[in-house]
Amino acid sequence: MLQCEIVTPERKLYSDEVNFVVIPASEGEMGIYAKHEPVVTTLKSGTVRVTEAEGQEPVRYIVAGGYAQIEANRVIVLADHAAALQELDETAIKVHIDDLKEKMADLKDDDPNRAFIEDEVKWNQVLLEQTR
Amino acid sequence: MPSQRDIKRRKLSVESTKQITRTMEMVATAKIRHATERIAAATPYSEAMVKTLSGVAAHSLSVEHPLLEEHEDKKAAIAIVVVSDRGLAGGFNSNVFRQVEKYRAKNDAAGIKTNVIVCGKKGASYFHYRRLEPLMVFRDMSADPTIQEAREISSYVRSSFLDHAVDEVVIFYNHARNAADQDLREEVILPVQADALKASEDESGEAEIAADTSFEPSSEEVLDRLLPAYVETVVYHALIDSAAAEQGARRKAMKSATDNATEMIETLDRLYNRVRQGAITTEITEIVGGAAALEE
Repeated sequence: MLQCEIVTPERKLYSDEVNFVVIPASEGEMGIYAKHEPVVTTLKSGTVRVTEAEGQEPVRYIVAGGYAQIEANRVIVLADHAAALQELDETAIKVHIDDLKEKMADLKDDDPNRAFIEDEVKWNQVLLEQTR
Repeated sequence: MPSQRDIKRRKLSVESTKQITRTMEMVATAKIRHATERIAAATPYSEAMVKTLSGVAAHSLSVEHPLLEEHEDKKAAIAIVVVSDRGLAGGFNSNVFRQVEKYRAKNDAAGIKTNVIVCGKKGASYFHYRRLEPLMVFRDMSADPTIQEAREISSYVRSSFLDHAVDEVVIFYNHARNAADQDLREEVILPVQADALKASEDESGEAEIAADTSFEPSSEEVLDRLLPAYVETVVYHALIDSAAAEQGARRKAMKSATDNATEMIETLDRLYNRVRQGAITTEITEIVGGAAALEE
């Protein structure tokens, strides 16, 4: 069996024994079964698909940034941002993006907050793309 | 000798103080749980992060990265000061300030200018009073720090460091050793201390990642992604650790305040009884004396 964990700096999103995992590695998607060769890879924005048991529908998690560490019987996804697809709501994200953009328009160019909000906008746009 | 009424009034005042400190103690106790849970939630990420980072560092033997680079001829430093928004937590804040002052004095002697980034209202007023304007101030977040706060701080110090505007970044905070005790910590976060990573590795034992691990796209690019995230993690961890320590310190301070109040009430009770008894004795003596005078 393969132990799969999806974590962000704030919390552990997922941790369980699984059969198969697909991660959006920066060089292209990687499918991982148990006994994979050890790899550390950076991630691009995309969806992690976790298949818990053979033949089951995969559970999807959207991730952005970060990297994944793969060992023989363990996959750890350390993402800057991550969210479970089923918990997302497209309209709420759109509203949130508009809010952020509005906030950004009020800021000066050298405001320390700026980089953070830009990052947040990017992440929400990733979410929007992936939910479609 | 104070009058009975004075003592009674005093006792009432101590009692109401005790009620407040006891409530604060209980509130802090409840918040400790929340704070420790948050640390527990963040631990898997930071552990895995340190593990991979030290693995990468061990792999690419001659690691070179601008964030690892020790600047020659240091001119400016940033001290990130993590304190609380509220007082009544014993020496929680003043311990940090004392350490920061030591650091500043050391830098001044070496001709290095020290700027500060402050998290916590107490820190803002402390440095304002000393006419040192902080580069960044975060208020009303000490009890519930967010990853956003950590990201803002880390992206600011990272870019200043890469621009060579700053040569060293140190973070000062209270570490929650357990629910009651705090340790003051001073950690250099930039340049990233690769040696420290290896050292922390030895403690945790099995952390070494497999020797034949491959890195994609390359170990340099992995490192490039890892180091900034590492800085962010260290800052975030300091913030949540400090939040837990704050509640611990407050609980301890309020507990001893409550204990002191209890003791004081006891003393006042005894004093009150003695004064009352004294008054009664005086009255009796007066009556007896008066009666005796009449008989004669």
